[in-house]
Amino acid sequence: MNAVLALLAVVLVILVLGALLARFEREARASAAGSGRDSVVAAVNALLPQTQCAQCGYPGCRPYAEAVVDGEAGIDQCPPGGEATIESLALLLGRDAVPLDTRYGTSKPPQLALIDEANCIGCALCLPACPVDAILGAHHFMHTIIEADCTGCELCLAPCPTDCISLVPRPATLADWRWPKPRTSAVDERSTLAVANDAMDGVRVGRGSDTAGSSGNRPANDSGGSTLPRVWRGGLALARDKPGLDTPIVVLSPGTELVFPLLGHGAHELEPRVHRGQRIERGDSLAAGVLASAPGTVAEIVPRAVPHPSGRVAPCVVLHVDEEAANAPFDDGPVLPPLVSLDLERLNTAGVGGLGGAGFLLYNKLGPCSSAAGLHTLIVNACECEPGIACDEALMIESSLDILDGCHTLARLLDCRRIVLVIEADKDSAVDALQRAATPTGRAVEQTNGQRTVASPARGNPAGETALEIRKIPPIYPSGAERLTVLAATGIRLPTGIRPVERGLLCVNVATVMAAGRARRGHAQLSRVVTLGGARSTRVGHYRVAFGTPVSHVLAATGQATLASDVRIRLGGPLSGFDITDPSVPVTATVNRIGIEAQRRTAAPQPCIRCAACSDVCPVDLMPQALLTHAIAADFRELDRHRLDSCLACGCCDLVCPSSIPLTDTFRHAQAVHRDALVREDAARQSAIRHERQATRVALESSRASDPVAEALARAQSRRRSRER
Amino acid sequence: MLALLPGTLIQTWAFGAGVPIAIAFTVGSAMFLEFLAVALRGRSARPALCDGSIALAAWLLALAVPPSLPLAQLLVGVAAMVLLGKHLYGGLGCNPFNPAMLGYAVLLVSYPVTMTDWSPTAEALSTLPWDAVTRATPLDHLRSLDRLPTMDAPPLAAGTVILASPWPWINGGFLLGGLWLLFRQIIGWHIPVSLLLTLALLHAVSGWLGDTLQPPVQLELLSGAAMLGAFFIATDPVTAPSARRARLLYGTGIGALTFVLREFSAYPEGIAFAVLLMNMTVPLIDRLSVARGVER
Repeated sequence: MNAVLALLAVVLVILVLGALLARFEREARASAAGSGRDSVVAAVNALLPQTQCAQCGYPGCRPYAEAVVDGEAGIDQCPPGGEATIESLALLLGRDAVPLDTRYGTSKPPQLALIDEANCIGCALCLPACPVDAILGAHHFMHTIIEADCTGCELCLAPCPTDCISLVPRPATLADWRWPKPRTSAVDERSTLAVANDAMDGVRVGRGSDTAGSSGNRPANDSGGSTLPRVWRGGLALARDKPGLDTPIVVLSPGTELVFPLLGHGAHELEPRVHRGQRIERGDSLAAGVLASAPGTVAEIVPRAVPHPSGRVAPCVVLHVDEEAANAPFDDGPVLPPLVSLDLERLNTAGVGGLGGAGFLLYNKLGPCSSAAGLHTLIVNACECEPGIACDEALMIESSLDILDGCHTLARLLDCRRIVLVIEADKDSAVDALQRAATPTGRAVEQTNGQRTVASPARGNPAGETALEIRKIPPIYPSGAERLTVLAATGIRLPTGIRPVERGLLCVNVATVMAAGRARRGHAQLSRVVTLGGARSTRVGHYRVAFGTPVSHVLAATGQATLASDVRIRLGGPLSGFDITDPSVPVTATVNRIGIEAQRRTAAPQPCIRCAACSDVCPVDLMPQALLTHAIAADFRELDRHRLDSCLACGCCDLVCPSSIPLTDTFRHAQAVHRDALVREDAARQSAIRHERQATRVALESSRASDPVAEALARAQSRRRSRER
Repeated sequence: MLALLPGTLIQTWAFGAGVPIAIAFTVGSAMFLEFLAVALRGRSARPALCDGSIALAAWLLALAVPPSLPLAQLLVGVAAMVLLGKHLYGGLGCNPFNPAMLGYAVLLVSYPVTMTDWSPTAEALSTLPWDAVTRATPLDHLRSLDRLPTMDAPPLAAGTVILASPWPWINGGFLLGGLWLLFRQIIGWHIPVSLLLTLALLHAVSGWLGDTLQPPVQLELLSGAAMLGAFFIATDPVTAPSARRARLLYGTGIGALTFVLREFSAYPEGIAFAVLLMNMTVPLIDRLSVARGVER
């Protein structure tokens, strides 16, 4: 009998494993290239850069793809594609990735053809040479290169009789910068066995005052000490570290020079609306969404250091501030006439938005819903989950009335049914301040604790006034992430790539809401509250800083003009911020903290032991251990399957990894590379389309009969005939 | 490693000083071989020696082998564990097979006689009138009884056989240690629970199907290396799947294979080979749990 049972058990195990094998094999086969030479050629062609430069020896990318598939050409013949293309071809075709064969050319950085107009004679010989029709011109007319379409293939250089075409490198902007690939394994180094997580500026994982070592870095699947239910899994209960809340917010002076980066969202450069020497008043628009925070004159518009992890420069408007304004505390008075009720135009003029960290302008955020139709819930994000940052909390304690006014103003503009303010349970004084501010004016405040709703009677509630709900959530990092805040407020899970406005929700930072309310009263958003702190900072507190104020001025004004040599300046929190080397960087809307920290000891990464502590803490249910393996292998198909696009880059996995692997940096890098690959693929697709159109046109022209005039007549006649029909 | 202490102490009491000697020897030789291997590979030695992984594996190996095993043979096992089980595949984090179990398997196959000699200590022997005693482990004993034709005297009830041996106590010790590991959240519950549940279920079903020689399920669970395997060996993170659902399947598979090997194979204890077999399937079953992430 036992034998039968044993046999059954074995058979069961075999069946289960076999079923799994079958399922995954089917999956793998479905995603691989279909059979048939044509589909393989198409797959190979899709990986090529589509420059049609013929450096490989074939008259275009598709002929080369066919040669590769037929075995006539190796995969190492494409210089514009470089090593990246060779690797992806090797992966697709199952061949070895060999280095680029330099007989066919060398890989060059992205370049652009440039016509020297002084020497161009308008001969139009270069036009047919370009395989993607990127040259615009005609006989005896000036020729010019269409920058967006030029692939840098160099085929136009040879036909030009005056040699007026040259190649220049594509100008690099801040938007070209990518997160660098971190070192994910210790290689041959006698490294000290540093304490894990020391790189996180002393962030401690624990409940309340419990500071924990590596064994205590456990997922916060409880409510971090509070009794509130959890809506999403994962995250970490970090020890509460909110410095400087016992002192009031100090308003700093702007200083003699203000620097305004001409950068929009996504680091793309903006056109300045002012010129050198122009007289500027407080509140004037310097570029789209960039307002002057003090009166003065434009000194120059030059590249300056900007608050960006790359440490690069970008074009900035440098303002020389008037004497009286430079040394007085920042003047936050109104610059526009007050309105009865807020409108979208005022949001735009007042530059409201971007105080939450991501830097979206509120006007742009409402984007597709500019008519404000379809929004039913306003979610005010008052969570400040990262340790070390407390500017929003300080603002709530001091300016609770303004915040409430902002909530109601914005809700009235957007015609929202609900206003939900999401805040962490350990911000008691802030919640108290908000409630105290609410009740005397008679606006009903419903406080929802988990599922129960306790409604307080509305006294003299004006008709149509939406009630503000304060929803307290457990203090888990990163509950302030937009996706998670929306989930906590409404229970709605937003799919990746869907903005909240598309689901009728608007999630706004609490300081931005306050700015919206003040915008109605005529105040433009010209400053923000910044937390000054850090282990090596001599002054800890909150300061209202005008936009454009250099960090060096903030430090000087707080008695830290000279810093020790072994400290570093960090903008933002220990987990989501970045270090800067140049203290002349200006404070902008996204700078919520200036921290003076000790130099960090980076622990040498050890191999991944697959302990799965990282997947236990991931707030969006990803598997960092799998993502790591695939990111190192640059296997984007697997990364996509494991949902790399959902990664918040919150840093929770870094904190718990016992091998000190820089997971978050690896994922940021992989995301950037993947995005680049998609952009390149898109550009290649466009080039291929242009090339095919050109080929069709050329074929048509060459097969045409000799008399173009007769043909035109015939065309006109056929058109007339079809009209008569 | 602290969690191993209760079980280790009980095993020492049952089998004598051979146990701590074996542990000391295996840990020492494992560390030395690890240092050698790491140096030969050109890596820095300190992280490799200080992370404790090889010391733990050595301790487990020492617990799994009989204390009377000659040290020379034990060295072979340690070498197999460190070199074949770990560094051949690339060192920490890269090995697909559980190193301790690999070492044990190599020993079991190479030295079958000495590997199955679980004799009790001399003190325990002194109470008996004989000069020498050979004794099989309870599982061995049960198996041999099962295969012999029925004799006149009824065989001892299986329960008595097992209880008379120190094995339930040893397993109890490891169970305690394992529960402490769970409490401290050093290991997850998925593998031990699924492993023990499957094992218990299969034993229960087989007992219900009417074999009088089967001891009660609890004692089956407490015999052999069930507890050591469930909490200390199968939960090795490097060789186990990292996804939750996959871990459940992994534990179930080990439990099922352990049952099969206990009943059907020539070896007394099935956990070692069960673990090694399931290690082979880990890349496949790990694909079970894909990140749910955020839906599109």
